[in-house]
Amino acid sequence: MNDSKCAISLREVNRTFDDFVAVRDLSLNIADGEFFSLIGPSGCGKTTTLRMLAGLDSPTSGSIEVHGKDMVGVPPYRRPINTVFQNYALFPHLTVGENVAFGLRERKTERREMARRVGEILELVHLPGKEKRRPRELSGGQQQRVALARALVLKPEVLLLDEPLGALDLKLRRSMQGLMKEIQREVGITFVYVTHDQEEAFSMSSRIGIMNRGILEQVDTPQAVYRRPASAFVADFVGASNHVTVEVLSVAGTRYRVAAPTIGTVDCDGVDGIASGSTAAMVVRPELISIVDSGTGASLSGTIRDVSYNGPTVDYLVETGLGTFAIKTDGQRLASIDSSVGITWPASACWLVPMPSELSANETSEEATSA
Amino acid sequence: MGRIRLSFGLITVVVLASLYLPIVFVFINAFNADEELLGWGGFSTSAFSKVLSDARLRHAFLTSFTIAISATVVSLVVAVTAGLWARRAGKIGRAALGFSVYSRLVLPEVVLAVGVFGLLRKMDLPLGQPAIVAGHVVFLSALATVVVQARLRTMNETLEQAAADLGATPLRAFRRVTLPQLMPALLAGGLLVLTFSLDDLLLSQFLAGSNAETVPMLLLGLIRFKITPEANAIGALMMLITVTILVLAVAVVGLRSGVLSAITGSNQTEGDQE
Repeated sequence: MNDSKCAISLREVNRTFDDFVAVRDLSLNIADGEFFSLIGPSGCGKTTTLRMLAGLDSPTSGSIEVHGKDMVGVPPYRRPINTVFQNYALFPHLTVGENVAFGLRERKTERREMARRVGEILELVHLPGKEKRRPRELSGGQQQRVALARALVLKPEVLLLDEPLGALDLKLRRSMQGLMKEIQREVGITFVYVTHDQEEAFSMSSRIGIMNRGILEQVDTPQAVYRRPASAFVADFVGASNHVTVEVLSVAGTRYRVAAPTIGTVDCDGVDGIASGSTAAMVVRPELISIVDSGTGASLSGTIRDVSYNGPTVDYLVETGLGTFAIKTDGQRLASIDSSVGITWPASACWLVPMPSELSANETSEEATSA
Repeated sequence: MGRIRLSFGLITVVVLASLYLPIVFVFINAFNADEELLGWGGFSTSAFSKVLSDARLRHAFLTSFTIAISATVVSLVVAVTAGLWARRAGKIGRAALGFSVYSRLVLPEVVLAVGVFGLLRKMDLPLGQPAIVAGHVVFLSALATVVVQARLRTMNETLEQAAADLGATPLRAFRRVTLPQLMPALLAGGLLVLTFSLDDLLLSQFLAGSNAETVPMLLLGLIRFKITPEANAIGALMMLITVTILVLAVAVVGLRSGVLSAITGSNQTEGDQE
């Protein structure tokens, strides 16, 4: 990515609070006009990163550049960056129009020009003619759009969004996601979007960064992150996955031959750089596993412990000798609780990641399920 | 049952009567034509005209209001500064401020009076009007701080961050966001300080020196010999002025926000669903 096309460039950014490391060695480039999402469980450092971009917090070390200009030490009111805050932070003593015009007034915009731009931007967020209303008279979704308009009207180089849809109910969230995508395409401003909802991030973003305990674990397109997660944590966070601990027999580039207990030898692709002879985690996606009759050609046999029917899919939990597997099926074949079944998957469904350390393995799986 | 209800009603009437009767008597006697106030000597407004034409009294009114308004302004500045500082301060700083505020509220006023008096003497500063203002601020800024802090606690700090994000310097953010949000608390706190200061006798007496005289001081001097219709007229005037200020203040803030509901402040993000 060359520098002129780079909207944001973070270099080895660290942020520590007393003895707590909120962000560790974070380096990241975000291209101009990109819709970039930063996801991770609560406390992973994504909001701290956003606050450092906004200027509401400063890094302990490292550099932050916006379009090539160094931003460290520049106060928020002098940055070409605007933010949509988590709880909107609309000014309750001002009308919707005055809220949207707040930044324009600080920039000494001429009166008529101001009214025109406020009207235009309210049109864009589908709130035309609401200038005279008070924020508290609006619904949550409308307030959210006012917050968006208030930031967008200043035509920032970068727009930061801190869990902007967190307070809305599911249905409203889906429709707001659509609106957000549409607006981003229309204005072409670089969006940096923070959320703990991976589905939300997947459906909107051109690229995603996944953070865990202050470390940016992977940055890639949603498809790549989902198909080729860089770590067991990422695999868990972007959609429940199953792990099997395996031994690496041989390595050829990113192609591995591994020995899995009970299952036997498997050839699969994986993350670059896992050493031959080491133990690693083989990730199997729930939707790529099929349930078959026990015995015949099954990779593993086990007992169904839970069935949940979701309409288009049916989810199973199957207890096997290698732990409990989550399986997502299309619901064509129904099995009942406590029945013995076999499960199987093609070798292409496997992906090898480095073995997570014992501590983080426990922690991350907990965080992923609670998120 | 009926008897209990009746006795409760009776108690209520007696309590309310003993609260308001003295005030009613002040008003009645202000219009009493009988100079000795031994009985009802007929209706007269002569006490008021005497009071209003009395130069010494007019001077006392002026002194009282000058002191009260100065004390109010300084107390509010102290309260806002302390409140904003407390938000950033650590645990120890906040505890220290809390201790300072509540100790000033619960300490007997006479202790404060002696303390301020002693300090001014020690520093060789003169007694008089400025000394009274200082004394009132020491006491009443604590009252204002409590009110302002209560409001600040309900205010969201992200609003100031949002203002900064939208391009407002810290000073502009204070002007455009913090101050308007604090307004109801400033009004309520200011009113409290104003009336307490107008009312104060003890601190004023201690710190007045030889040439400052406030209305309560003058009133005390008057009734030392005998209670006259003039004394009652002064009381009635003080009351009218205080009530007028209160009514004006409420009218200015508007019944929409309401002083009390504004202090408890619960207007952040309630909104009807779409």
